[in-house]
Amino acid sequence: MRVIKFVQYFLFTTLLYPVFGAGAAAVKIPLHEVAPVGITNLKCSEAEFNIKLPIPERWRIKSGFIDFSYVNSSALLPQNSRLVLKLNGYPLAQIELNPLAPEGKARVRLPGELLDSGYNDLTFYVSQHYTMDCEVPCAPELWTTLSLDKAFIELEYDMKPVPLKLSSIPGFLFDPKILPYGKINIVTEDGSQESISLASIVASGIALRFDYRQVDFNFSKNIMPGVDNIVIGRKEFVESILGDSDISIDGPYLQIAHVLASQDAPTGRTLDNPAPNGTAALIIVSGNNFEEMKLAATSLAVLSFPFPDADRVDITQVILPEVTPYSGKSILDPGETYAFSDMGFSSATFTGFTPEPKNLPVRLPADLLLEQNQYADLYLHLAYGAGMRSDSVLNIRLNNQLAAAIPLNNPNGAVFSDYKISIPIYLFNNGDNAIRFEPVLTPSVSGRCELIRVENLFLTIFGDSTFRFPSLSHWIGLPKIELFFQDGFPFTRWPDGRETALYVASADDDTVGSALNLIGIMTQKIGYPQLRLNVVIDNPRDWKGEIIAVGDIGNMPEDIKDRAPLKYGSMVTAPYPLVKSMSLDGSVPAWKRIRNYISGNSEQKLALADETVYMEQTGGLGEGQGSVMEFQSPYQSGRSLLLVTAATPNDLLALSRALGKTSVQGGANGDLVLVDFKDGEYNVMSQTLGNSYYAGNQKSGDKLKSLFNSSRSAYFVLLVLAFVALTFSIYYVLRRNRSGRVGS
Amino acid sequence: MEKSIPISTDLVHTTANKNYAFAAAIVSAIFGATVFLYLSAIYLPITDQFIFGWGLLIPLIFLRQKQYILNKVPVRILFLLIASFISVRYWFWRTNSTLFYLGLFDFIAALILYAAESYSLVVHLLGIFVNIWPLKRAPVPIPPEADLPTVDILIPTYTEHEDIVHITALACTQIDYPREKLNIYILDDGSTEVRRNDLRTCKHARDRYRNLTELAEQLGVQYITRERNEKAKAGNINNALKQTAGELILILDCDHVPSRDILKNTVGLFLRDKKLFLVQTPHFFINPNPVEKNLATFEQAPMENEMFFGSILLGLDFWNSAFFCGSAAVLRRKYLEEVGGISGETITEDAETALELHAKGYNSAYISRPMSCGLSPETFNDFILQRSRWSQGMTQIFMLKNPLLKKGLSLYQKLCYTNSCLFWFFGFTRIVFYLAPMAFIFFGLKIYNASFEQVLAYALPHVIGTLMVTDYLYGRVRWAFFSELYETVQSIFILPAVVSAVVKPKSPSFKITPKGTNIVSGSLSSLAKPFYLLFLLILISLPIAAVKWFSHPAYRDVIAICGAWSVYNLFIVLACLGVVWEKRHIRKYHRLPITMPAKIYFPRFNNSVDAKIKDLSLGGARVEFASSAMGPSIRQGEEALIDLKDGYGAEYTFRCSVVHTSTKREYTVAGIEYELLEDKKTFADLVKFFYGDSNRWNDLREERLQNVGIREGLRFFVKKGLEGSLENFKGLAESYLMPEIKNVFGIRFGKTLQKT
Repeated sequence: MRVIKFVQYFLFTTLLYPVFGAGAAAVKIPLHEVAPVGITNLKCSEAEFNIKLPIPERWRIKSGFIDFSYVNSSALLPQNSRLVLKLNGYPLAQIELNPLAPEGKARVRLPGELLDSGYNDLTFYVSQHYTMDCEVPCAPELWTTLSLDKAFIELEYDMKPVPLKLSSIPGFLFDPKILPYGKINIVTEDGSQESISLASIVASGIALRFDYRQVDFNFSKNIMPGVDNIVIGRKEFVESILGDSDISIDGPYLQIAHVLASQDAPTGRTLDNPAPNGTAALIIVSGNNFEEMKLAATSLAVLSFPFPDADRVDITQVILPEVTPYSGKSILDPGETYAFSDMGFSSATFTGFTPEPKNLPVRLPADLLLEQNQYADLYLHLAYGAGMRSDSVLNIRLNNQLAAAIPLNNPNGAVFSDYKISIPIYLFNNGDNAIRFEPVLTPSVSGRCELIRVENLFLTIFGDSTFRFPSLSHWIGLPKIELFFQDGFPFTRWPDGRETALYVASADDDTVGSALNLIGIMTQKIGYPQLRLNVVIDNPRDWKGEIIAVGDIGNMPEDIKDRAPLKYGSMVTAPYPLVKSMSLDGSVPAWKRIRNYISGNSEQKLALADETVYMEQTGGLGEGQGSVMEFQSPYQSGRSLLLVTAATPNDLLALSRALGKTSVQGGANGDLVLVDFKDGEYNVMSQTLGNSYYAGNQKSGDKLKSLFNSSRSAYFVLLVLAFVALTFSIYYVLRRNRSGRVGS
Repeated sequence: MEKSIPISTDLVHTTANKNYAFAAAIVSAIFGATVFLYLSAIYLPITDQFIFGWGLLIPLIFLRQKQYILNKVPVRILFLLIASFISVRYWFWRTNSTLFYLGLFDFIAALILYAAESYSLVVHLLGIFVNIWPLKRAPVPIPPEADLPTVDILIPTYTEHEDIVHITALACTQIDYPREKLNIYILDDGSTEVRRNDLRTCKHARDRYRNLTELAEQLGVQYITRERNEKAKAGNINNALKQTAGELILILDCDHVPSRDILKNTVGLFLRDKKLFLVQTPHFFINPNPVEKNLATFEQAPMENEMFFGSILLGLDFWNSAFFCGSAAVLRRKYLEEVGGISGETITEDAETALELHAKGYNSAYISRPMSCGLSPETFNDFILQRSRWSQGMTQIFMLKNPLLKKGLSLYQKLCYTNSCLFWFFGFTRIVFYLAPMAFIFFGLKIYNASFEQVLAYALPHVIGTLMVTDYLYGRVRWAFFSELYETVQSIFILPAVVSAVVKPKSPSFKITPKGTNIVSGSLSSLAKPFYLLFLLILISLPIAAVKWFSHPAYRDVIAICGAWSVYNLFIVLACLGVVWEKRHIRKYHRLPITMPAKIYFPRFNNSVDAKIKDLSLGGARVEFASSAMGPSIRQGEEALIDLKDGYGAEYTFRCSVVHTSTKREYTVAGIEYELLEDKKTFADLVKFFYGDSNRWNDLREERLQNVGIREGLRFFVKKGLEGSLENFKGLAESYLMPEIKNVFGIRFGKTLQKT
């Protein structure tokens, strides 16, 4: 154990130093972890690409750098072609786009004085030309490609001291702008079910404050120096931790203090006359009993507003709003009509030749039954300028598929109100979708050597445009781990987690820490704190809802392991995908073939089929590996069990942190996800192996429905029985009647 | 002193077993029905639905191929259950997954279509219920020692030609029944006192009065008329009931000529069942109705009314719900008088009367052997008039005496009568089914919110299952797609009649169907216009659908469905156009395609030849004999004697003359006409020979009753429809267009000539 503790201490003090170390610190992180970027094409004679660079409030930036590479067209005129990098509108560097050296790398300094707390605009602007006279503004030769997926950001900064005010919790301490991710140590008295429950509420609340930014939780009995610590416990425990016997705790209690640099991490004892440091926070969540501590933890979890302006607070009551199923962050309620502005799309004006497209995010409940015969409607309010050519259009894509187009063919310009676009709902995905507006604006003048004005090329989509998704039933075939990583489904059907049990198979720090990390992921996905999540440490065989089981393989109950698609034991039946074949056999349903024939879509005539080999063997998960599996709960049909497991608790903790990575989440689907996280690299493999089952919004009758949807043979057998029973009874009645009739 | 009563243990066991069986039947019915409905309504992923929808068709197809298995009643029940399951599942899916609001007009249109489909499904399921085990009775022989009841034959007539009445009354006198127990009455409503004294009708009424009283006297039958025409046919019969006393009453429309065995085959049932109030027999028609005549299907396909008399009435009889059809039926006076005679609240007095008597707990029976021969309406207008009356009458019953609410009826009878009434609302569905695809193609109304996959998985199995059930239950009596045609040609005219009866159930009045109308030359029915309009609309809609296919790729699913639907509608409408082109028809006596042996004696050659009758009428026949026997020397006007034999073995010899001949190499065909028709004995013999033999009607009927299957039925239907519509266009061109063209060009040409 001492070794493990040492490793922990080493990890936290070395790896976290760049983030929370005293004094100056530096961090170098891939740009794609900072903002959603990839390979970006800048076309036409003038184009730009903008990203938001987050700077946390608790950092004071001294300087920074950005490293990126690019490739420009070899047809450009070097004297007239420039790539300009701007920070908050201020040009930082101009790079000549040389056709003789079209590939380039750039390292641009980001002055600290220009980087403010909050989101900073980092703009890649290109001005490029291939001829000096009579240039076609959007000639195909005019392009520059930025390889931003391989770009890095380096920041050198100082940590600001933490204000000893609880109001600093939502904006200052738990800030989604913290890079590359947040770290929190949760300290409790013991590993009891009560303690873990309280830790789960606190972790959920903190994760919510971090919003989209990954936050790694550590669970411990001791304070960790250099990171923010949350101490949860009764008065005596708090006093023992702080070495202060004069804390007045008469009820639910919250307090913020500083973690001192000289606090002895292994023992948790405070040394005499510790030197103040003040860059890491210590938050105390306390009370005289479990209920009071829960109230305090809940209070911390819901602190979303910079208030109160004091270092401690006594709480008497927390009034939570009514919660309904499927009411998580930005999830639309099917059947209702929403204004674009309510969906995060304020009025947008597109200008120029190649205006940057804009997305309307559409987040649907994960289990909507997307039937094939219904349509979602967009009612667009838009205006476009005069003097555009009649082949100007507004293309509308849904999840990168072209769904509709609006001709902007009036040379005098026009204003549309309630322009209706219907999109078949089967084009939508369960969970997150994006409707993308891509205007193509063409000037009316296109002759050679003519003055082409582009200022009049504009299109505005107003924020009061509306979107309506039809009311649908909730019913979906499971397992789909990808839904867990979209909005925590099905464990967040009730966004406060009330129908879910978190089963912690062993109460060691790493296993509990893993569980807290999963809670953090779930919370961020659904956007609601898991205040009613049921934490259990005994076998959850009596639980009739959804279950998340977290633990190493050795501590996992047999009845759970037996149901898993990949059965860990002395002998393991392991699946090995052998070949992904191009199949034209019966795997394509007949109606799809007919449909494809009608629609002329030859691509869909091909279907991929996985050929999987199953091998019974010894051995299982090794070091640096973990697995996530989803299957029907062995304790309740129509309910799901998410099994997160690894060979050791330490691996489990690493797995839970890996699951917080966007790249890992993106590769997770089906019912079995194997994650290999050796050497800091993440390798994700997903498969679907087990039986499917169906789940809805868990109304009465759903269990039977689920049974028949999951098992065709059950449906068939019951149908045959019904036919036999009815045939017998009808024949009996008919014979009686006939003998009466013929007799008469 | 107490005595122990011995109880047979066998009896106890049998009763106990019956109770157990009954209990088991109840339990399995509850279980089966619950599961059936649950599994019908439950959501299935589209793949599973596709598998089950089409998978369930496999046993249906298999069983249809193995008729000997399907003839077993439990298998028949299973077959119908499987098909019903597919349809009920479709309906639940339509209800749960396709009805949503997409705009006011779309929603209204979708609801109307949904209502039409729901109605069709209800009628379809009720049809399955009615026909689940049809009861085909054999005539019950009259015991030799039986004390035969007295029978009154009532022949109500209004304005029909006296010759028609003459034949019917004459045939009645030839019925095989003790004469002293038989009284025949001509009930003449065409010569009531009011009509005889009304200036507009007096001449015709007085002549009629004179002729019919003379006829009655001559035939030895009674003649009854009354003061005024109250309550139409029902009033006429009720008036006669007061003046007659027979225990049983045979009611015959004046164009329904009875065969000699009609009473022999029906009275036995009354002797056996004391609670029997009715024995109905089929209406067999000697002539085609206008649909059969204009599409030339009469001699090949089953008659239109066979659907009812050849199938549905058998099913109704099983459920003790066979009802009085106005003619060719025997009723028991005692029970009829209990309900005040023939009911007259509605204009289908026959069904209404039966409803009242069933509600009193009395029984009815149906013998599916034609024992009378009647006349169909000749023109399309007369046909529509007749059907409008029926539809209004049954609607009146539904509105005024709703069978579902009628006390005294069993649940089965309620369902049977409801089915009979609801059927007549088909006009609504037919019109909706025609307009629905056009509503989408022309106006873009989203009437049917389903994807192509859903149509394949839900709708198509339902349509195929329904077709198979319809073919199985009715294919022998109504070939595939002819029901659609019959309903379509009637729907446009029946719907307003039904609606008016729904709105004002007491307002419809009895209108008699004209019979024996002649059509001098081929002409267009005055009711043809709506079908031309429909034809044009569908024609226009198809290219629009084709254009939309390319311009609205997102809606190809619906366009494909509506386009295919419109093409189907187009074929039905083409057949309708064939129907409304009235073919020329002048014939005093209708010919029947009958093959029977005969012997012809030609006095000029003093030679007899064996011949074959190819068709037969009351006035003559077409005969065929070997050319080598006489052929070439036969000439027009040749006198002959023809020897004929009926089904009972009676022999007849009629004097006749040859009116035309045609000689082929091997055989000669000659048309002959009977002579001395004015001779009473000869005419009586001719009537006896022609109408008296029910075997002939039965054989002729059975010949046509055959199931040719859906594919052959479709081929026949399309062929006849196209031929009929071509005849229509050709007739139009010849009768209207060409004369007009000739006229126009002729005038111009004439003027030009003059100028020149």
